[in-house]
Amino acid sequence: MTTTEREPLPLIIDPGDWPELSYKLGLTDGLPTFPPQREVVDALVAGSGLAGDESLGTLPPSGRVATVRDIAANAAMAGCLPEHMPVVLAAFDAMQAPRFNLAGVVATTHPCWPLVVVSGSAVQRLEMATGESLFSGGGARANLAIGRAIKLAIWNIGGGRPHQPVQEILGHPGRLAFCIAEAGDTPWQPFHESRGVDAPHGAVTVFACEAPQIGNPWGFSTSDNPNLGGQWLGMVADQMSARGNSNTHTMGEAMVVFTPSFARTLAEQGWTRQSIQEHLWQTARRRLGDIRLKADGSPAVDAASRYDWWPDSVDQSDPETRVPVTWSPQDIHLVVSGADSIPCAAMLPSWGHLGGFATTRALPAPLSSGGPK
Amino acid sequence: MELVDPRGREAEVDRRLAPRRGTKEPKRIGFLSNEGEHLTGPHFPGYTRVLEDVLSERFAHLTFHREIKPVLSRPAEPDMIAQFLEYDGVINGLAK
Repeated sequence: MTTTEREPLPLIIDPGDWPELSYKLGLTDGLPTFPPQREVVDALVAGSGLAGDESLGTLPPSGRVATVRDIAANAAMAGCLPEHMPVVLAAFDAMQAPRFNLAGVVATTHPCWPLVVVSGSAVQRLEMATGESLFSGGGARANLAIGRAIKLAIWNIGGGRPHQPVQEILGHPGRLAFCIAEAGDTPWQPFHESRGVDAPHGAVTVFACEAPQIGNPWGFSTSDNPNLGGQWLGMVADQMSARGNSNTHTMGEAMVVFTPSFARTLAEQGWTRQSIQEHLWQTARRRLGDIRLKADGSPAVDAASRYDWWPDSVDQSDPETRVPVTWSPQDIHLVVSGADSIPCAAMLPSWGHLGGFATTRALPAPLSSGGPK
Repeated sequence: MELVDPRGREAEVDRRLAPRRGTKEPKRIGFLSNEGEHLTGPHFPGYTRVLEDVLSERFAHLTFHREIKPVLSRPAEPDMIAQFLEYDGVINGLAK
């Protein structure tokens, strides 16, 4: 069913009828949902601190108008609590930024989806998980409900459904729900502060990216190794510059998530957020002659082969040019979270130069402290 | 149980068709390509040149204008779209 062929939703139903009705009307992507019950939706609107009929603009690809109440209805289906609403709304506000190109992110052939990263004081306030199973919700209601609310709103309001119009070729498990929180005990400043956002009540960053690709530090000498941090970063750089991902071919932005123990080791060996970004930018590179090939396997470095999306600083005539995978060191986004056990890293390639760029919004003061300010 | 429809509402936008030219002979054709030229495989700018040749043979009076979107994944910028309002016909596409 397309978004323009909508069967009316009966506004009064028996609660037991909801599951089948939701499937019949295409109101879910396949997972069961809670009914968008009036009382629950009203509570979620109240939790937003905004008026229910306040417009949040249109959602792509359908271009239908979303109000706070519409988003709240989807948040109700996702199982959100009223205190989750400011996070959901901040995520939508960030995704509406033109640089995010939400229409493209939703409908592209590429397997990316907006990852929501909550950082700062909101993480503890909302009881978000930052430990084991980080990318699958960590057992916390907030992580999955927030991620799910975003998916359902794009599904129901935006009409972002497979084939018509979403052309994603292989899909992305994060399209079911894709929300993480940064751990509170990072050795560096919180993620949003590193992006220049002052957010005493916490912040939300959206970044369209692929599913996490895990780097387990196999094969390193861990005892009395003063070079361990740098060697680990070499492993990270290898995965960031794999052929076939959009960053390697078009640059853009990328994200790396370090577990707390991974980050602590780096910090103990003198690495800062900035020095890591710079190091990864210098080392996560791929030889041009390996990126572009002619039919006979030789490097394609003639003028006709040029990528016009790369900056002029890339010498596209030399097969030995080492091409960075992001535009700048600052475009490598570093987040600390996950189980504080085995040191690991997760690399999240992006949609390259085409959109979904990291966008951060500060959260308002919680209503319990006097309401949004 | 009372429900709230989660599907939002249609935007109130003016989606009228562009003015038709009636029987007036078209003079200007615009090609809007979603992407640039590729080294390998088909690309729409190349296809538009073929179309231009064919149309020119049949309708010698036609003039053509060609634009390529700066980023294929984004809608064309408003000033680019405004340019095409001056044309009698616009052909947009992506070759695959």
